Amino acid sequence: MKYFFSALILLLSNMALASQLDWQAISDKAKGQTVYFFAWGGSNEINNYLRWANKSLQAQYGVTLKHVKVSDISESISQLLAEKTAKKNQNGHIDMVWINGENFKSMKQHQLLGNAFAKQLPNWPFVDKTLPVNSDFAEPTLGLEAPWGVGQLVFIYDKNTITTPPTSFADLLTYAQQHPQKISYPKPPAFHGTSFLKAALLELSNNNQLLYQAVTKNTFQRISAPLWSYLDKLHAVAWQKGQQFPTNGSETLQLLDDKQLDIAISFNPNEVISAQANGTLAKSTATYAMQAGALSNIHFLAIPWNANAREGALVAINFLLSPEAQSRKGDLTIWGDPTVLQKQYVTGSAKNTTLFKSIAEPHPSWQAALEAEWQTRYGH
Amino acid sequence: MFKSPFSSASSSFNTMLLLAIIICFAPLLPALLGLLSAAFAYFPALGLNEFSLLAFKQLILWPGLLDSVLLSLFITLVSTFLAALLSFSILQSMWQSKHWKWIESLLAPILGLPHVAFAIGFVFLFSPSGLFSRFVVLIMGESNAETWSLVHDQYGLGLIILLTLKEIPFILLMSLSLLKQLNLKQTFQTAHSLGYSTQQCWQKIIFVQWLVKIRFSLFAVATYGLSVVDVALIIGPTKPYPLAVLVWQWFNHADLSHYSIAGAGALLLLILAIFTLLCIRVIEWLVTCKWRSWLSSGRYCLPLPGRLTVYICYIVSLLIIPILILWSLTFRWPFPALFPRVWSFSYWSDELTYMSEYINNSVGIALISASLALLFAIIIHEFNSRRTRGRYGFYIPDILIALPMLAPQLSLLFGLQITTLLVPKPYYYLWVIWAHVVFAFPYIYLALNGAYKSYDKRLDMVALSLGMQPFKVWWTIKRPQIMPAILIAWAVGMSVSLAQYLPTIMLGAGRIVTITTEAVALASGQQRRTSAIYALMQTLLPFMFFLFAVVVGRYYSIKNNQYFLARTK
Amino acid sequence: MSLSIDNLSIHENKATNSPPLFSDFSATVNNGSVLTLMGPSGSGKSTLLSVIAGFISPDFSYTGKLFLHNKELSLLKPENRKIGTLFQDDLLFPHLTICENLMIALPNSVKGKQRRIIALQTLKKLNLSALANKSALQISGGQKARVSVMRLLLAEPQAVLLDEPFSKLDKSLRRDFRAWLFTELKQRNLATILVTHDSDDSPQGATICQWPWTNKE
Repeated sequence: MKYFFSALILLLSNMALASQLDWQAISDKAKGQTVYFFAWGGSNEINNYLRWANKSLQAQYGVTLKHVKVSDISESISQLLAEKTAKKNQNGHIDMVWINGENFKSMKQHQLLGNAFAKQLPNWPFVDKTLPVNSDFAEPTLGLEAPWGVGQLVFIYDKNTITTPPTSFADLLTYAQQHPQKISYPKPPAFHGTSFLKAALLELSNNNQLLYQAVTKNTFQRISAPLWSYLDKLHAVAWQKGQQFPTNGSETLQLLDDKQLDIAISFNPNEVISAQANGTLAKSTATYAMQAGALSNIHFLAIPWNANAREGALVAINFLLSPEAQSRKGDLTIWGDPTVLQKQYVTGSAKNTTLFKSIAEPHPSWQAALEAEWQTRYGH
Repeated sequence: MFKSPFSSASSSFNTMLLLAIIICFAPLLPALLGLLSAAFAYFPALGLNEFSLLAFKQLILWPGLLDSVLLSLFITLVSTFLAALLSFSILQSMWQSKHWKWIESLLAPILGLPHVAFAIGFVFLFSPSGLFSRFVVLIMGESNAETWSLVHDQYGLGLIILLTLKEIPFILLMSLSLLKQLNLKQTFQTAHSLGYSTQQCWQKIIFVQWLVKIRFSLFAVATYGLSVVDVALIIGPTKPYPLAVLVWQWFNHADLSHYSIAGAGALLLLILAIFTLLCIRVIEWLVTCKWRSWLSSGRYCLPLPGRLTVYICYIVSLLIIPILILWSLTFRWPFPALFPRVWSFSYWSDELTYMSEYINNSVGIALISASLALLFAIIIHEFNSRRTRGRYGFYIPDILIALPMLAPQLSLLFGLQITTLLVPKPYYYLWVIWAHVVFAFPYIYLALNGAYKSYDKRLDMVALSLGMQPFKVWWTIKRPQIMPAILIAWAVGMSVSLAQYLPTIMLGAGRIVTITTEAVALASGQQRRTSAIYALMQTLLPFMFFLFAVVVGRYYSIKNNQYFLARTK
Repeated sequence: MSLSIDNLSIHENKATNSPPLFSDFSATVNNGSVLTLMGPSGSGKSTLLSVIAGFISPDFSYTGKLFLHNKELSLLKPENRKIGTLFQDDLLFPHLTICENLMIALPNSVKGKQRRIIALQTLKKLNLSALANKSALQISGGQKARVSVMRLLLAEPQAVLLDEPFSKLDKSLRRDFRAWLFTELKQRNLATILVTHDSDDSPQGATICQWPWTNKE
């Protein structure tokens, strides 16, 4: 009985909230709109998934979703910033963005995000609230962005090459010293590269709590010191002697397959399976996370304040949050990105995804500081 | 002085001329102004209301800027110098030899290979997991698997080699027409009668004359090497980045403050370009004027690797297509297998459904911009061919026409993009097409040069004196004569437009996707199979237009000859 | 010591059954003498000179032997035959000054500064010192012709071929130039073959051979 009433209240309150957004009017206006979705385009799986999403959106809602492939979403943010300063408050060229972390903070700070919408989406009730969906790298989302999937920093190796992969950064260094020229990480400020730095720093500083607060000059020098001495040692035995770095996570997968690297980096715990399914990796590859846990975060979808097709974007985001879309997204042979919905709502192989033990992301201000310092020390 | 078929009294010609000047040359002014204003951090629309040198301060303080600048200069000067030297050595060794016909006929298709597709294929051939490396492993065993790399290597050697290989056919093509002006047969006879061998004649007598005439082509080659972004993204160094890539990154960076440093950087790029052109001019002056005693010091010559160069150049170029095809049909191709282990057509079938939109974009933009640029090139040629200072007192100078080829594209586009921010409504397709017209125009103009120079103007005079209207004279007399050249020029314009990356990306705000922008995005994202597919498509499109141009052009030549033969019987 | 031609026949390669340009031409030119081939244009005289100089084009082939100072010429590349050819056009190199045009002809054995000194001396003898640093495009036709001759002679040829060298000169210049040319050639004791269609061009004491050659003897 208790459950029935709470469910009823939940349903009623959701209906009430949904009506705050007048979903009918929004879907009507969205018909025929083209949504320009600026998102990272470096993965075939994601690109194909978005193509499917476009087809479904066209069929079901009359909305066209155009995936504009960017190599780094911060590029799009700079363009939005320019538009904001130029007081271009309508007809912006970006309708929807795929962001998290520092990018979100930057957009929030510069008021590039428009009105809150996430909790008013019809599919919001399906979202698993036990996941950290309301704060992005410790910055409250305030409904300005909707969760899309879960990211965990994991490593991929070939079982034929390594029997027991290194499960800590310290072990990774030892491995690199024993097998020179076989270990590397993507070049910061590429997303996977910066994440590698953050995860390494967390371990090397013994999870110092100051990493979860805003960075200051003093704290930065003191806490990051072990990271730089670690990297100095790592670069000496890294792939191409640290003179060249892979451009992003996808390249590390390719280099793993080329036997140039022994360990690849990914933010998708299931990437190895979809990569095997499309022939990028051999069947003998497997994923693992560090023993201390995998750096985890949620990645989000947001709508710029001056979006031209705001209604279409809302419809699209709502669709991407639907059980149908999330199940397909989590399908191991399609993309494998873990869902943000409660498990009972997804179907297929997406249901079976288990996440590694997670470590929370540090405060976003540390990211900029780490990237800048890395650039100064190793960037040229 | 005779009057061109387009008499100065024709007002429609004047309107067209004005239109041509506005569309092809006018954008250069806002480009420069926009560049300067961003560099001096003055842009009211973006909240920067005073001129300041802040951007320059930031630029100078950027860690590694000097490394980037030196790297860019190194890559540019070495690749230009090598391309010039090796082109000349090919001419010296192979001119009118028995293989020359092959070399000449393969020049056009090899030139038609777009730079981006070439770069993607180059990676597949020469990266540590490339075909070349696999052969080495085959011969020398897996333990010797290479860790050297020509891709993203520190000194840009891979980029230098690619630029050199790609520019040699261009310089050869330019040389073909200008060597005809040098009266080679008689030069050789005179030289022989003075006791100079053919090789000695090439180096002591022809080289200097050739170098002076090829100057402009070398300028274009150097500017391209300095300002190229798309190829540098695919195989260029990453530590440090060449200056053009660095400026491109600033342009795209999250921070607004980086916008003006990007402007300062683009201005620096322009200054470096001028500096490079000066270097080339100075080196030419040193070799041909200042230190001239070597010219008349006797019958000596240096051995040059002409034969080897042409084999390497042509073989690598011809390997690009097969390697792209192999990767596009691959499902599994592990290292170090020489051929794909598991084949699959699925990547092709998946992509073809979505490619049609990109192909439509690419071809649509190319058709409009190439056709417009062709029209304007013909008008400007007609205007210039009069060369009467009388009524107008000016003619369009070559330097102005060549400016889009000689100024770094990134710098020009940066200024243009700033200017488009002033326009409230976004007209992406308009900006992109206009930019394509501006950049394709010089190439089309150049391609028509030969036809216009060798056209006998007396034919027009005769027709006019028979009372024909000027436009009719052009349409019925001149046009059929120069039709083959017009068609080739149009195909050249098409291929230039199809290969454009920066204009489409910068002025299209990322919303206009062409085959080229997609290929670069996929290549930088390490998507081998799909980037191979797009690279092949990027090559196929201009090839079809060239084929069309050659076939139709041949039809016109035959028609002209038949007419002539019929009249002489 | 002489230039001798032995049973030379030249055929056009176009059709197998076309008659040869001429057949079985034989002649010997001694040092210091001039052989004049006189006849209308297009009768194969220039082609003969081309064959001797080694410039034969693929449109023609020849049989017979050529000797210069008893060395067989067909074995030698054109640049090694030590035969100078003077054409109608002066063909001075446009990228070089007049002085350098002369310097370029000097043998390799003359080195360094000596090359310029000899070239300047030669110009002085011609009273053309003022032209030393001018380019070929800046001097007159007559001056060009003389410089062209000196360039030829500075290369120290062992025989000289003249292919209608006077036809482009003005009538007023022709006589003086002719006289001066043949004096220079005589001084150097060079075997010379002159091709012309103007009987005035042939010097005193030259052997005249009427062209087309019909092998009547």
